[in-house]
Amino acid sequence: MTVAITALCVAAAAAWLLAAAIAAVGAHRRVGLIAACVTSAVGGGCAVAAGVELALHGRAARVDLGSDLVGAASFHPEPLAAAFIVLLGLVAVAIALYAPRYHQPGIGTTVYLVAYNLALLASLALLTAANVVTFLVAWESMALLCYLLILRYHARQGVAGGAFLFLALGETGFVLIVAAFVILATQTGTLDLSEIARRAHSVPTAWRTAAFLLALTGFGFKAGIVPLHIWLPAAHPVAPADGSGLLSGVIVKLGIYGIALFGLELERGGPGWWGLVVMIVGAVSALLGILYALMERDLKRFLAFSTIENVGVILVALGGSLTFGAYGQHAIGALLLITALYMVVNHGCYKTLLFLEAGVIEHAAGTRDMDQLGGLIRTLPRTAVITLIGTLGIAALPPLNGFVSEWLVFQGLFQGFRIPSHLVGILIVVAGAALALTAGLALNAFVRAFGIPFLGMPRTARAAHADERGMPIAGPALLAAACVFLGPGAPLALMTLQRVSHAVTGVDIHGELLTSKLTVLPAHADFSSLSPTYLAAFLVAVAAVPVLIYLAGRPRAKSRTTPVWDGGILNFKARMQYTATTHANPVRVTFDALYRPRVDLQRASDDPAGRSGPVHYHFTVSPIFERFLYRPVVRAVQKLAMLARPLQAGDVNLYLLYVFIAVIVAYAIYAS
Amino acid sequence: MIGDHQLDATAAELRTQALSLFGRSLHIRTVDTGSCAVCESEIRLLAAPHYDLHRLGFFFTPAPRHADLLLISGPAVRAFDDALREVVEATPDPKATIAVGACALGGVYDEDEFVHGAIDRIVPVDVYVPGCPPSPLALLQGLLVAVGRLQTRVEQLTLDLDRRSA
Repeated sequence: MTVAITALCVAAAAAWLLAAAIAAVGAHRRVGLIAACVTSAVGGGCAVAAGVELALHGRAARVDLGSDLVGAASFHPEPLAAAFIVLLGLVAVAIALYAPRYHQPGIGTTVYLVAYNLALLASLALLTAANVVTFLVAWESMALLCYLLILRYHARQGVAGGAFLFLALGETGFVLIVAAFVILATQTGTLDLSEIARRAHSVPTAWRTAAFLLALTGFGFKAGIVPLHIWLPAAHPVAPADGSGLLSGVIVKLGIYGIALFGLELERGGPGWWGLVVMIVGAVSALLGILYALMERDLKRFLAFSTIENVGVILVALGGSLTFGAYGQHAIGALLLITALYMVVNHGCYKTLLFLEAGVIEHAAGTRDMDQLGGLIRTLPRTAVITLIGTLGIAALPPLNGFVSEWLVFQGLFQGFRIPSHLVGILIVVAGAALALTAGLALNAFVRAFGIPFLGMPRTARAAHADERGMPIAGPALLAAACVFLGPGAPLALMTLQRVSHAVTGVDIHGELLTSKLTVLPAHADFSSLSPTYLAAFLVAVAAVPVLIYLAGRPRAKSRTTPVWDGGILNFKARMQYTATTHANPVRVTFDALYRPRVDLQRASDDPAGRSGPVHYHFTVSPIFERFLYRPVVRAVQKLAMLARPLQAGDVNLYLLYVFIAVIVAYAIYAS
Repeated sequence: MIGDHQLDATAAELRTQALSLFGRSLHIRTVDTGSCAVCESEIRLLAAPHYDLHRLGFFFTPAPRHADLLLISGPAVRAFDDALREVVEATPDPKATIAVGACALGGVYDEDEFVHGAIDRIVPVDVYVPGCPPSPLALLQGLLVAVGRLQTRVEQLTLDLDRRSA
């Protein structure tokens, strides 16, 4: 089986390389564009198969290219990466189905598709990397290629800024990641990842802690944990829809992969407080992410903030896994690891779906502003159905996948009482409470994000005349099917992920997790249980009852159809409806201290009788992290630069003097 | 002054009728087509403890969709035409309409460019309750008559259904 995994990975890599080549040659014509996307989809299919095979059968064969110690590129897919590889492949297939209808053939698309396929290749390379250098090179290539993806429409306003934030924060994180790897490599004396994992237990705890915290921060920049998240809402809206989908669906997850790689694979767990730190960071990210999401009117900025929330929830599960493992509760630790991996796949599916559909809405209606949309369920019915499935998934409503993962994470956290230390137990339950608040706010946020654009009356003429003919459908539909499958099919997915967790942690909880084939237990039989499959069947049956009664027929009274009762308002206008801003207002008032909103209120006149004419109300949330964290850092850097400026006065004679001094100093050192 | 025994008698009869008709759940929607609000204050008195319409199984509802009876007051100002028609249209059958007060019956305003002067020029009216304003007891008796009209309509509907299912 090991050969099959390697062959599939190589096939995926080759297909993506070929897709990049085809795009480079032919994407200025529609045929070439379609050919490149088909090839890319084939690569995605191979990656999905490779990931599934890797999860089911464990270790794959090792591939070494080159012989020199530092220059060698080695690949050795480890089970931890399996879920991420499946997700990468799935998203690649969905985007390949989406891209030919979204992009127009041309030079910009050519560059974009080349960068995109190479970014897929780099992501696969870093997920399968077997040594530090390969990992770092793949990571950096991925970051730079994604920078190009964001720059697709570089001439538009805000694009350069968003892309720069992505690059600047990513590179800052990269420095920390390199530092973390250097610590482990020098302490263990090897650059090989599996060798580091074998020797890491002999490294002093202080060094291990330093490496873990550096990795958490470094990968946290890419994963988008608060307060390192500010690139997400800046870069996502300016990238093309499929680029945003890749960023949120896969690239952000690579940050989580990095944190899991250090915490679980390379260092094999550590003191219990590591996990608590990850959990606290995750809980804060989740809560702040969704609170900021609720204030956004731009669909893609909203989705970017929602990604921060979801990453937070995944990190809470991952941190819980570390903590429970450190306190000897290996079964619950394994359960939370499985949950985290399951959430990674889930979030990749529905978030990519929502970004792709946001792109459809933007093209069909000409805007992403929720308050200018409305009534799209009538003009864009296909988009509405698919978006609804994604929304139900991400809002964690049964029977879809989001609900099952949310249930699992709560069941894991609420077993904090099994840890003997009361403080730790209480902290874990507090994180659970924060997640409960997050879940409620997320439900509110997604009612708003679906209801305001899709329901009601169109608020602008463009929304009224939106047209989805010729818009992509297959890509998002594939992801919607995946969401539907991962919900009722959760036992199958969890069984597969259980093998991954068994290979990573060495704990087999198949018997505790899945007693019968369709019922999931949270690692302890006396706690609770859920059958996603039966739940789905039950909900479908309940929904079928009224339909059956209707079909069975009964004598009906003469019926009469009249318009919806609107309180006798004769001329109901679209602007009388709830807007995205008003829908979120209760939350805004409640969390006023956090948002510190700036409200601009303009009246046409200040007539004392109240005949004010049109009133313009505009409010903005203060970006507290930008103001209080990033601005001081930027100012400090600028001051340092000003101090260094006299050294570089631009005078050639001065520079000659520097060279002369340098030669003298070098000579003096050599001579001594 | 009307004695309380008369109130008791009317109330008792109304109660049995409402009970047999809608299981003591008859909902009333009031519609004001430009009245001076005195009719409304008398209607409000029906819900006060002395008359206590609720014990008889009558309730006020804010939406015509839930209403069985419409209490319409005012002289039917023309600006309200469409809204009034909409209310009547939105009330499900079987329903009964009661015109309340002198204005609604055509006793105060003549037809001109602002008002129609009487409710029944716009929508069909089943029961007329005169008075400026009508006393609560008069309103109760109006309700009694209206419930009788409803009764026949319900029977007719049931007959229709029987005929169709047969």
